[in-house]
Amino acid sequence: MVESYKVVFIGEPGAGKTTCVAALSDIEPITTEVPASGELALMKDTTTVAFDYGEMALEGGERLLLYGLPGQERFSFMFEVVRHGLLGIIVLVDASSAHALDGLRETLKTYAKELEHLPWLIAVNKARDSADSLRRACQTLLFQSRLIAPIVTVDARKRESIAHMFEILFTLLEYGDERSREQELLA
Amino acid sequence: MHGAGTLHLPWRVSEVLAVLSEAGSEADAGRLGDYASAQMGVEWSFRLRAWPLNFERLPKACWSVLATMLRKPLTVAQIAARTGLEEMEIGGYLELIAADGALDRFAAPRTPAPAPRSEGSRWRSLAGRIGRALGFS
Repeated sequence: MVESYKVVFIGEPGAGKTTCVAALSDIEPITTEVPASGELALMKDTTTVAFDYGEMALEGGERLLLYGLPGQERFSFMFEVVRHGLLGIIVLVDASSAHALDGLRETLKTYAKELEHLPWLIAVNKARDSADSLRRACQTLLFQSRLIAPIVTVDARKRESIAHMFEILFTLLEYGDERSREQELLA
Repeated sequence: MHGAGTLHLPWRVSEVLAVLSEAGSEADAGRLGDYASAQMGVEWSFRLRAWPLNFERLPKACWSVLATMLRKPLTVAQIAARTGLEEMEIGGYLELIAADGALDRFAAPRTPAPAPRSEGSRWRSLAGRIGRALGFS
């Protein structure tokens, strides 16, 4: 049986989810756009929320399924699509956004239960420098949320940056994952 | 007067245990360093308080130690069984992590060392395939 694995990128609009999925996918990435609503609709009048999907072929016929999900609570139902077979989560933070921490705060609140049990990391994207102050602020948010995760600065446009994220994610998966039954991960 | 670590006749169980525990602690201290060494029949368990922000500057073997302590407290022997690292090396990493204020330490009764885990190779293999697909060896 050919196996497939899932990795999900979660973040606010503009955080880099589509960029990551597109950088990795062997197929044309699929983006499902949803009309903005509520306060977001006041800021952006068209479509701003996207569900991204891509696939990456691996040796031996295996596939890595790539998903990009919004961080907002009202879209959390989408997580059910990716839950089964999920290797881990990469939470993207848009360093260029004035509301970066607000977005992260909502993501942490929305997915707190999942983040307690799954391998995950925070990737600060679009930073002009090492983003030390933003990373410290993210760390404080994590502490307040009683969550622990590596925080890295990345450039989602670069494959080496994405490879770095995966290296960290797989370290967490290999040494920190308490799920003992591999069957739980199989998609 | 008898020196520390010595016994005199007739032997008392409590004295024998105390000397053995002391000897064990000294041996652990020699192997692990002061922070991680066991004390008087008690061993330390370690759990991450936070993932150090400077972790990318630490050796990658240290990343694996960090990862093991994410969810629950583990002893040095348990970390060694999960990572395959030597206990002395782990002790050194624990001191580095503790110096960063990122570690909590709990005392617990000594337990037998667990058997090494081997299921990690599956993820190493998958990570390697993804790395190659990304163009990295």
